[in-house]
Amino acid sequence: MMENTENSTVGLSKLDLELAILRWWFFSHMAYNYQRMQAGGFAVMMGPLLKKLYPHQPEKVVAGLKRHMMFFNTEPRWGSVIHGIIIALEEQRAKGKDIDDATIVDLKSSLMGPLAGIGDTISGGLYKPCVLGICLGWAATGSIMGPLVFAVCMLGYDLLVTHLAIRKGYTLGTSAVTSVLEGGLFKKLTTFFSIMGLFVLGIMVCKFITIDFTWISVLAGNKVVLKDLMDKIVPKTLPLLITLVSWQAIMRGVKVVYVLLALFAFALVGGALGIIG
Amino acid sequence: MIEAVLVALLGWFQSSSMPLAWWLAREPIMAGFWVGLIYGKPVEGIIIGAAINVAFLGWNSTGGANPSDLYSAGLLGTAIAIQGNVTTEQAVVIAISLGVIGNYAWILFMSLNSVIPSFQDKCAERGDIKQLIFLQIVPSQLVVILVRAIPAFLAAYYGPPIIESLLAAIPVWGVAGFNAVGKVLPALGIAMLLKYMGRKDLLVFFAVGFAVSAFTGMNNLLFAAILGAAMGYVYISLQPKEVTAGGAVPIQEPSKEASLYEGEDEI
Repeated sequence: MMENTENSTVGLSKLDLELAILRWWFFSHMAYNYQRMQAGGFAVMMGPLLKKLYPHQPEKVVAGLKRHMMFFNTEPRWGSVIHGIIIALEEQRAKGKDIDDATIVDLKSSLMGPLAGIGDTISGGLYKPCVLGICLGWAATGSIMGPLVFAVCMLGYDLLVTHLAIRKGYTLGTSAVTSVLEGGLFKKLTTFFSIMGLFVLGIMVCKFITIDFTWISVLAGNKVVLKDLMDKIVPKTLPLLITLVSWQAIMRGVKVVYVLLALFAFALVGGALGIIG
Repeated sequence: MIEAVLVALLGWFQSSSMPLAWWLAREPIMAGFWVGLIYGKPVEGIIIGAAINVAFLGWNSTGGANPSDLYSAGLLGTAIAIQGNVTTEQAVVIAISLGVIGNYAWILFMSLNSVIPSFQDKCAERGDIKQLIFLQIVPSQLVVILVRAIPAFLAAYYGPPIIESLLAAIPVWGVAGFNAVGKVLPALGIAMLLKYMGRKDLLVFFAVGFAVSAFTGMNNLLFAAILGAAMGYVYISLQPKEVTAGGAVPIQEPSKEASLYEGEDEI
């Protein structure tokens, strides 16, 4: 890479990195599509950086842009560790280090899956539901605290994690990923949020699924209220049963839409017959 | 009329695909609040939005595929419910139905946008960064206006009277069935979330939560979260230290997850 020696003085400033983070944060999904997913967002983030790294070599900027227009898709917050690493690699490359195209492209495509797994689990499966769980409690009573706290918690989380992930990826370069994957922190974090989330979820079954038996039968002149009977054994049995059956159906690969339709039909018939309500 | 235009604007903003839109307007809890504000009934808006949101608790758009459309369910569900004077349960049913239809807007958005990268490729070829950024930001917004804002306007303007006359035509037993549906559907949201969270070894905490609430009637979720966090902390503290030492165990976890949900856009 002799031709790169003239660039040995170029480098990225803190501001460049901050602007790149903001570009990714704002624009990553604006043209989200089936063809390339987040590729456009990635190229938008890299573009100005490439221009800075290769001020006098437009052909290298072109090559870089093409490199980053390749299919890319990850969870936008935790996954942006990749962005930090790639920025660091591109900078080293511009400075003359021997890093080839394949390394950069392979790194991107091999990391996007695992990091999406981490990100989805934490953001979508654990953090958001926990915040939502608390905020929905407030919102159900009409309190402004619900939307307010939700917005603050989610926006703050999104901005903070994206920011830290890119910065961390940038400073640690390739070693970042191993530290994330092998540190044991990930497992601890998911375990913690799973426990908290599952506990809250158990309570939400009782709070939000308000269906119950309404069937009253007259046996030998005595009114038998099914609900009272069930409440003596386990209260809220019906909400729990419906939840567990739906969950098992989804786990066994039944499409969510079919579960939805089944619930729809079950409740419509049950409600119309006066058994549940 | 003005309200419907504002709902359309909100429909555009919530689908503009950036974090500000995701967290300030996309989720039904937020959309409900804004729609309520537009119609001068913020408190009702929050309550309806929250009820709809429960059914979408486990909503996760994995790899660009949606189970149902969170966007239109929250926005249009609240807009129609607030104007049409329906109960909260009925609002949930209407919202879920709208979500199933609204999913086509999402598919359309993703499909129409698929043209954009081809043009961005040409910009890359020329090294035209400015044009590339422009293509990322602007054309997709036109798509959003087409598939989200305009339908939102039509639904907010013409929807309520249609829904109202529909509800008026349904017999009493039908309304009972309809209301029961609204009470049952939140189970779907919780079930979907259970799929994400439900690690076998930790399911006992779900059972504990249910038992505590079912038998004591305790349903303060903030209190529950604090209790849950404490239990989580204790559980982790009691784990043997070896998990952190070897690399093998922690590595397995993310790669297993990755195969479950490969690549995701947003939550």
